[in-house]
Amino acid sequence: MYGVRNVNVFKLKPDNKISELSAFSFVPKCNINSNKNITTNIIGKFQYLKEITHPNLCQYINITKNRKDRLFVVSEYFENSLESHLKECKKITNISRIRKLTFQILSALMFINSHGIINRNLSLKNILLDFNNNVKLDNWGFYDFTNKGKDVQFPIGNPEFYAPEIIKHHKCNLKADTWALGIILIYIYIGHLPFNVDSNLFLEELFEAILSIKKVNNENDSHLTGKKQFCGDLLSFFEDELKEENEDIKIFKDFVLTCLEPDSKKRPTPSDLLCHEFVKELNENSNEGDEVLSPIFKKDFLFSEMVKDIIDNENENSIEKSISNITRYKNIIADEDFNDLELEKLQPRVIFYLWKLAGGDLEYEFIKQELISLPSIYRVKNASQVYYTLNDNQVVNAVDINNSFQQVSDPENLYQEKKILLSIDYLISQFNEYKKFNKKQDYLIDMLNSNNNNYFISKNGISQEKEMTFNEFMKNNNNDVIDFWNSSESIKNNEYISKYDEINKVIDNNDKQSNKEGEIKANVELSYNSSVLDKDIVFQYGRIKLFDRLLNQFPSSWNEFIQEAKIHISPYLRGKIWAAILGVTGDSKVIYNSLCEKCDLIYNDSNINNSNLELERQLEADIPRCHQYNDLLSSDIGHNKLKRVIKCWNIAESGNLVYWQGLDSVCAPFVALNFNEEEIAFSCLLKFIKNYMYGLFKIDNSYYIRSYLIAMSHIISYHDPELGSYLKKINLTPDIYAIPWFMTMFTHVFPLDKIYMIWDKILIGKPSLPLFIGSAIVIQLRSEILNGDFDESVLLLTELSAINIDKCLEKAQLLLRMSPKSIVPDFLNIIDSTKISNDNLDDIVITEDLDTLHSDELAPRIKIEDFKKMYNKSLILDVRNESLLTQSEDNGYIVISPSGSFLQGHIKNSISIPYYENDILPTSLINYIKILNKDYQYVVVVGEEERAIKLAEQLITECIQRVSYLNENNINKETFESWEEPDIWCCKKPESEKFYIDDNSDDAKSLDIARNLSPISPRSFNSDHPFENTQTFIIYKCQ
Amino acid sequence: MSFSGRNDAAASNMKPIQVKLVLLGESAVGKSSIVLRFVNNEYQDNKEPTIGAAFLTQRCKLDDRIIKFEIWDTAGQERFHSLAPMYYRNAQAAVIVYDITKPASLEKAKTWVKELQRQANPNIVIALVGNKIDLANNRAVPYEEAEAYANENELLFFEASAKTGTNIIEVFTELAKKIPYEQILANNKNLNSRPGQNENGRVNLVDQDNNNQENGQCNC
Ligand SMILES: Nc1nc2c(ncn2[C@@H]2O[C@H](COP(=O)(O)OP(=O)(O)OP(=O)(O)O)[C@@H](O)[C@H]2O)c(=O)[nH]1
Ligand SMILES: [Mg+2]
Repeated sequence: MYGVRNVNVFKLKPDNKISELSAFSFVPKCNINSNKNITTNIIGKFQYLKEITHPNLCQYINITKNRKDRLFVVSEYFENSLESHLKECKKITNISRIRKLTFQILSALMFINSHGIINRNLSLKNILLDFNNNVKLDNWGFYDFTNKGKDVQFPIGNPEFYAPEIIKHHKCNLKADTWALGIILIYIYIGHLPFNVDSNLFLEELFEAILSIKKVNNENDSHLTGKKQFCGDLLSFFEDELKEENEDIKIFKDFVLTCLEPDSKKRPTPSDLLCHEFVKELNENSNEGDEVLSPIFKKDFLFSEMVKDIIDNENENSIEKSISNITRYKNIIADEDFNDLELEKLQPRVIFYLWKLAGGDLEYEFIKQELISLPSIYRVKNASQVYYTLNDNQVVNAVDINNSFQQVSDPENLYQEKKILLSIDYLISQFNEYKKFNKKQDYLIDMLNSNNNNYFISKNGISQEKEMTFNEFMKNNNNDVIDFWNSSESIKNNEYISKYDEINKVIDNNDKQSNKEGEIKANVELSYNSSVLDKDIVFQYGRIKLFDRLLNQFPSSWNEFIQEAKIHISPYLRGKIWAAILGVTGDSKVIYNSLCEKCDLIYNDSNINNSNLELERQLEADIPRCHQYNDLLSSDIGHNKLKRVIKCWNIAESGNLVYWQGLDSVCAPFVALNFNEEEIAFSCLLKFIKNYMYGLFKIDNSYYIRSYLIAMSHIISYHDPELGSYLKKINLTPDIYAIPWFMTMFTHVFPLDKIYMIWDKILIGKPSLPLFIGSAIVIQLRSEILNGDFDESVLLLTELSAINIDKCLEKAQLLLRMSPKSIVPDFLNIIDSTKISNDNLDDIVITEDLDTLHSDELAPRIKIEDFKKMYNKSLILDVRNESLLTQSEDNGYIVISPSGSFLQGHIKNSISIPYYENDILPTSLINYIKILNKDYQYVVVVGEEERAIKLAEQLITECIQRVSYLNENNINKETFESWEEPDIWCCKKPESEKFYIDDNSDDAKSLDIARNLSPISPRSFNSDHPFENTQTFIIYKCQ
Repeated sequence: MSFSGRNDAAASNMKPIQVKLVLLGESAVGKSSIVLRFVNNEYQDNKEPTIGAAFLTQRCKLDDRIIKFEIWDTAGQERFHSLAPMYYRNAQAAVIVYDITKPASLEKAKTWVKELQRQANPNIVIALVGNKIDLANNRAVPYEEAEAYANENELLFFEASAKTGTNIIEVFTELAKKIPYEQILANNKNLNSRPGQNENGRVNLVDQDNNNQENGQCNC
């Protein structure tokens, strides 16, 4: 008996339906000298098996590898097997019991055969029995996902049940299982192996015995012959038949005889056998329909009970029926208790996911039970012997084996057949532990919720050295700041903050107490970031349940769904959630299949045209370089999937878009997440590129890519002027480093786990969010950049491994809210409004005019609509002043004369900036502007283009934040006519303000004091001034 | 104005001579791998494709000079071709790479040679490099054929392997020897700008005319 089940076993009550999980481990063939990565190919092949569900199959759940290429396979498990059963009851002679077993084994075999899989691993210990004594076939995919055993250096299957062709020709087809079934049936009927072989020469004699079996067919009778010495029991099983009167037993024995056809060509397949009289009746009564064809999300029910319900009640593919089921399902879920872990309702793979979240570690489980290094003498002998007997034509003796396969130092270590049970105890205790902090869930959600709507500008600005944490940020914000992207202008949030802090304190204290034995360290560091949430088991359990419900109620749950997706996307369901956000519908499979057919036609055609040939070649070069650290994407199957999806995309978009290098990376997350559902990966890619990467894959994408690059540099200068102007000074423009950022939506520069975090936000964010993410990345590196030179900074910006994605995303959303809309390229705003009004993106027209991008300007240009929102919080600098700043000869004072156009009319509260030599204002005047700016959030320069832009640039270089240029060359009364606020356009005579500047001092205080707000007529300019070494200015200001 | 790191200025009193070098060649011939080998002495099995271009630097000592290679590694896909002039326009050196197992990549290399001869800096020093000689078993381009072509066109010629490191340093050293430094020094004095950083350092995906005005802004 193999299972070692003594450690941490989760004992089940007999009626309890919690699926047990087990794992086994093996090492694939060494692949040092080959380009092919055998390990990842096994992982790739395995994925398909996860989708194959049948009542008589143990569900495959997961495969992972450790650093040494050892693989761990997790599957559903049942404690009893035919082998253990026989130990108890010696033999099974009840024919109807045998019939049921046979039928269930055959159904399982036929089902996997219909998926193109050969079991070839039938044995007593692989036939498990569930609580109701139903067959659960185990290890059924092992031969298949190891590439018919070629990828491992040990034999698969028990030699006792090998069919003759396996021994003779070392190959077999699905009929080998028929043979094995025959031997097994005799075994259970007579209670032992029907071959009498000496255990010393076990294999030699066993193989001789099997090969000796012949079938003799007479006219009305056929029977077996074989070496009496070895096959006595087998032959007498049939001989007894003559004496039997019982018709049932006769039929049974005839069935076995049909199975044991030595000639595999004549032997029936498992599905043929289902028509045999022995099981025919059961077969006809079985109401198992074909696989239910369902809309994409439906088959993803995570709660197994419900799945059963639906399968039981659904005889046809009728959608109406499934809808009624869904409603029923909804009702069951509706009154759910969010916090109870209902394991018995969960599918095994969800349990495994939670098990891992709770800290489960497969490798550790094996080491703990000493299973990885512990050799078992029996297996060593047989395993290596069978392997070499079967794989080498001449029988190799032991010495040769050791010489030629030195890497096989310990064959037992290659395959750990023993299954270990994964204890759920720990999962449950962890869950309860977390539940204690249950309350935090609500607050987390509140926090996350509010986070999506409220963004505030901190008074100190962003360019401060120290990064603010989320909490600090929430505290520091002041409430009267504009949110350019939301209708509501400002929202208070202090309530949340204090509550959140309180909760944190409670949790901290609790943790300190319960931490005595160092149990739960991981959850102490509760801070706002998604990586913490992703590991929070209660939170994730709740989210999985929630999204499972929402997805299954699709599309009526759309609004709630999007709301929830904005809060947090559960990693477990990410593939489906993304697909739902992108609007992938149930017909994607039909569409994809027809594209695949076209694809085959095109690429198998010998007259393939040039552009397709080019794509083929480029993919040949790119796919093997695409996210190859990922086990799925680096497998052969993964390569094929990526290629096929991209080729189909290319066909679907032909005439519109083309393959640019980098698209493979964009495709990668979708294929990795929907590995078994290529059609979903494809539909996601199609929609994502259409809606989120507009223009970037046009043949001529220069307008779009440049728009991104230029807008990003504007955003940086706007929010972080010091950094922005430094980057300009060293000529480090986004063109140098950021093309792959936007061309691939960051997939080329980050590994998949980080991409998932970023795309979670991009998918539910504004179309321009990527721009702000890019800016946030640069800003996160600001101190390194400011302290480095061009070379170092380029390296930093190409090597982004140190970027903290959570912080970056938080900042990006903040930057977005704080930025006037017109800072982003027009086309992104057009897409945004098109999406909001639900119109078709195909209909929008974009003028691709490179001249409108203003690549040389440091400051962004803003439109009047944005100005309308911000003008009363802006320091408005008016450059429509033709008069020169002049210097009086005698005392060195600079005197400003009033300007014509400013006097005639100006924006309320604006300040007239005089013309100055070369348009570079003296430091004194800049300092004055800095002082004034303390009362404002924004600086807007208005007036004639060339001068205004120069001034804006100078202000940015002087590190003044949020400087923009109002993109209106001729402002006048009419410009503001439609505005609701009265008197924006002011024709009053402006007040003059006299102030004194100490050129040598940056000290704002002293400058402040020197302000003299009493009105002075410029004519009566008083040359006396109270401060030494200062210059006097008079500025015209609308008060 | 020098943009080189502070350290090396301390290590030697000499100002390094900046040499702008561009890598060209079909996709997946191993351009990025060659640079990685030269700059970090590393090799990565599945080096991801280059999108747009990548910038790296490496200093080396040649006789009594310190040379700082400013390397622009370009994207190989034909679609990115329109970007290339941005990178080779002021280059003093070019490495044109092909894959000895792929005859088509040599043809592509030849078109690059022609384009450089027509449009690049007339003094540009070009090396033709047949990469992946570790795959000699799959060789599809005879050494002699490529060598003859290189001689005909007065190119430096190497067969190399980024994977094993064979001949990689040699490519760059031989290039370094051939570069007319006096001219660079003179040019650098005049332009007072980094090669590769002219014209705003901007990359224009299609329309190069847009980049023809010099950056008139003051950078101080
Ligand atoms: N065997 C071998 N493989 C190499 C060698 N150099 C590069 N490769 C492989 O060839 C593939 C392409 O290499 P890259 O350096 O990415 O090629 P590239 O020219 O930069 O490609 P693009 O960026 O697409 O233009 C990678 O999988 C490398 O691992 C070499 O010397 N020998
Ligand atoms: Mg490259």
